[in-house]
Amino acid sequence: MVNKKLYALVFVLALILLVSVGMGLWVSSALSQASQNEFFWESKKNANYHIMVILDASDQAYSEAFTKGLMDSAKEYQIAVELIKVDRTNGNQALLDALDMAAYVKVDGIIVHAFNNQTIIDKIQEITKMSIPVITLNEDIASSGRISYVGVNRYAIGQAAGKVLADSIKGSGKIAVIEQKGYDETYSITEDLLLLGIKDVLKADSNLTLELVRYTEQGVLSAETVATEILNEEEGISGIFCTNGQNTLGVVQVLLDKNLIGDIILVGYGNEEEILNFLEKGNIIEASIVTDYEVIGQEAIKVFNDYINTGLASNYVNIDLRVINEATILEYRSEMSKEHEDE
Amino acid sequence: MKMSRFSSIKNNLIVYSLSIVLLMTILSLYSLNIIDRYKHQIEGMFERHIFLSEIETMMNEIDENLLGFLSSKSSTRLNEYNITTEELKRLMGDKPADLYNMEDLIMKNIKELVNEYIGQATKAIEYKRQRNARQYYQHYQKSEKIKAFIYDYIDQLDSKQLTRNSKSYLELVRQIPRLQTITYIIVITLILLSICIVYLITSRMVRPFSHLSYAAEEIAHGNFNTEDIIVDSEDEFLLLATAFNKMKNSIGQYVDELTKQAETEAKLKDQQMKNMKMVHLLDNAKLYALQSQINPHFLFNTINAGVQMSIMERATKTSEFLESMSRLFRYNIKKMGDSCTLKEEIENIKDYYDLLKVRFGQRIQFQFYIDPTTIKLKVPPLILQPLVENAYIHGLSGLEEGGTITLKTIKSSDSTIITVEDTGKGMEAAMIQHILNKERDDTYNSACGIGIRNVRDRLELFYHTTEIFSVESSIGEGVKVVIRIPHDISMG
Repeated sequence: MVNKKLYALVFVLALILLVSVGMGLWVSSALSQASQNEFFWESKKNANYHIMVILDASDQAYSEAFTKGLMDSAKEYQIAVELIKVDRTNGNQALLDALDMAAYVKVDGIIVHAFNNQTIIDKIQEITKMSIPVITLNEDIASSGRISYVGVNRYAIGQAAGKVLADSIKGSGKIAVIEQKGYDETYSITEDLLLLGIKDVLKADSNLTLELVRYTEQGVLSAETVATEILNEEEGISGIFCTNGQNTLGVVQVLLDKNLIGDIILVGYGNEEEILNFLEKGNIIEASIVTDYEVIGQEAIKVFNDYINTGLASNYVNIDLRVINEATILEYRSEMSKEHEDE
Repeated sequence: MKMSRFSSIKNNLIVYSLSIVLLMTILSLYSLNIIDRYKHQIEGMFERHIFLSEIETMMNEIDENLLGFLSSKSSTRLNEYNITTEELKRLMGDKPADLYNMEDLIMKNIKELVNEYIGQATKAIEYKRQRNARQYYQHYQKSEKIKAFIYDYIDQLDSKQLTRNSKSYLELVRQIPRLQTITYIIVITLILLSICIVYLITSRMVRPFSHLSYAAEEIAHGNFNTEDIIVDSEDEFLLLATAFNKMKNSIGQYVDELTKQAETEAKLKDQQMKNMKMVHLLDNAKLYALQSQINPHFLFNTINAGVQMSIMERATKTSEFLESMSRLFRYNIKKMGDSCTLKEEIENIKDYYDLLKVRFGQRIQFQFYIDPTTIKLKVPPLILQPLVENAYIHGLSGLEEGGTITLKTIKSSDSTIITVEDTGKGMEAAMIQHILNKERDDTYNSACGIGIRNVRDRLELFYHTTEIFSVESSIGEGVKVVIRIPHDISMG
C-alpha cells in the first residue's frame, strides 16, 4: 500500500523533473535566441544582393514613404539595402565619397539621389565602368551611363505648378520659385527642367512671368528667411512655388506673419501632414503637388532586380504626380487611409 | 546455475544505483548545457568586438608603417608593413559570408574595404619606389579615406552590437531568476526522487530480512510451527527463504523424532526399573522366608527324617502329616524364583490344608472349587499360600467356632478369576485400604498385610498391570480376595 503510493510519487516526481528540465532548456534557448542577430526579413533568408542607397539628408521627401517602398520591394527580391544619407552642406564631396565607398565595398548596385553636376556624372560613369549598375533618383542624368532613372519628370512638375498658378492668378503678375539648394546656381533656367516646365505653361496660358528663383539651405528656417527676402525685395509677387515640403511650410509661416494670405498664391510640394491640414483649412495653400515616394522606392529596387537578372531594365520609370487642393484633399486623404488599411 | 534465473540482489542494486547516477548525470548535463549556452552567449557578445578591435589595431599599425615607409623608405618599416598586412589578410579570411542581417553586411563592407585599403597602400608603396610622387600621394590619400570608412563601419558595428548586447543583457537579467527557480525545482525534485529510490531499495531489501529474523527468533524460542516465509522477489532472498524454510521444517521433524525416541527410552527404563524391583521383592520374600523359617533345608531334611521314623514306627497318620509338611517346604524352597502353574499352587494349598487339619481338626474347613480349565494358568509362585495363611491367621484363628476358607478358580469369558474367601471376622474397608496402600517397601513395619501386599505387588509386576488384585470385606462378613487375570495378559 505504502509502496504503491511511493511508486506514484516517484512517477509524479519524474514527470516534474522532465518538465522542469524541458522548461529550463527552453528558457535558456529563448535567451540565446533573444541575443541572436536580427534578420533582414522575417523569412530569415539570406540576401542575394547588396544595394547601397545614397540619399540626400536634406530632402525630406525621401524619408518614410520612400524607405518603406524600398524595403518592401527589397524584402520581396531578397536584396540587402544599405541606406546612406549624405549631408551636402559642404558641397558634393560627401556624395562623391559615398559613391567611392560603394565602389570599394563592391556593392551589387547603387541607387543614388543624383544631381545634374559634372563631377557626379563623372563619378557615376567611373562606377558604371566597374560594372556596378547605378540607378538615379531625383534627377535623370542620362549622360552618366546610369541604367535607369526612377522618379517624377521635373518638367511635368513645373508644368503642374505653372498650371495651378495660371489658373489661380488672374491678370498679370510675378512668380517666384523657391528651390532647394543642390543645383549649381550657375544653371541657366533652361537647364532646370522644372523651371522650364513652369515657364512654358505661364508663357502659354497667362500673363504671369517667372521672375525669381531662390535656393534654400536645409531646414524650415532657411525657407522663412528666403521668403521674407523675396517679399521684401521684390514687389508685385503674386505667386510662389516651393519645390519641397519644408520650404512650403516655411513660406506659409511668413505669409501668416505678414498677413498676406489671399494676396499671394502659394503652390506647395509634398504631402506632409501639416501641408494637408493647411489645404483642408483652405486659402492658405492653393495646391500641393504630390508624388508617391513609396512607389519610387519600390520601382527603384524592381528596376535593379530586373537588370541584375535579365541585363535589361526600363531606362526611365516615370512616377505619376498629383495636384491636390481644397476640393480634392478629402478624397486624397481617404485614398491614403485606404492604402494604410490595405497594408 | 540456478542463480542465473534470478535477478540477483547485485543486479537490483546496480539498477537502483545506476538510476540515481543517471538522475545526477541528468542534473550535471543540464547544468553543463545551460552553462555552455551562457558561455556561448557571452562569447558571442564580445567575440566580434574583440575581432573589430584587433582589426583596428592592425590597421593603425599598417598605417603607421606605411607612412613610415613613404616618408623614410625604411626597409624595416616595409618589412613590418608586409608582416602586418599578411596577418590582417589572414585575420579577415577570404571567403565572404552570407548576408543575413545588417551586421553581416557591415562586416562584409569592412572586409572589402580592408582589401581595398591594402590594395591602395600597396600601390602607394610601388609608386613610391618608382619615385612617382604624385601617384603615390594620390593612392596614399585614397588609402586614408578608405581607412576612415573602415573606422566608421567599425564604429557602426560596435554600436549595433552594443545595442544588441544590451538587449541580450536585459533578457539575461529577466531570464536568470526564472532559470534559477527552475533549477531549484529540479534540484529539490532530484533529492526527493533519490530519497524515494533509496527508501524503495532498502525497504525491498530489508523486508525479507525482518521476516527471516522474526522467524529465527521464534525458532530460537523453540517454536518450529511458524509459517513459511514467502518472498515475492526472485533473487537471493528467495533462495535464502527457501533454504530457511527447509531448515526450519527438517529441524522440527528431527526434534519430533527425538522426542518420540526419548519417550520410548523412558518406557524401556521404566520396564527395567520394574524388573529390578521384582528381583528386589523376590529377594525380600526369600529373606522373609529365611528369617521366618530359619533354614528350610534343615527343616525339610529333619522332617524327612521324621517321615522315615514315623513309617518305621508304623504311625501312618504322623507319616502323612510329616509328608505333607515336607512337600510344603520343598515347594517353598523350590518355587521361590520361577513361575509355576495354578495347579501346583493349589496342590500346595492342599498340603497346607492337611497340616492345618492336624492342628485345628474340624474347626477350620477348606472348600475347593477348581475349574479344571484354569489349572494350567501360569502364575507367580507362592501367591495363594500367603492369602490362605492370612485368612487363617487374621480371619479365623481368633474365632471359637472356626470357619471355612474357600478357594475358587473360574474361567470367565475374558479372564481367569481366583478367589480366596473366609468366613472370619472380616475387617473395615478403611483397614483394607490402609493395608493395601502402605508403602510397598515397608515390608517389615507390620506383620499384618505384608503377605497380601507382597502377593499383590508380585502379581502386578508379573502381569504388568495394576487391575488384578482386589479385597472385599466388611466387619463380621469375612474377607474375600479376588485375583482377576485377564486372558490376554496371561497368554502374553
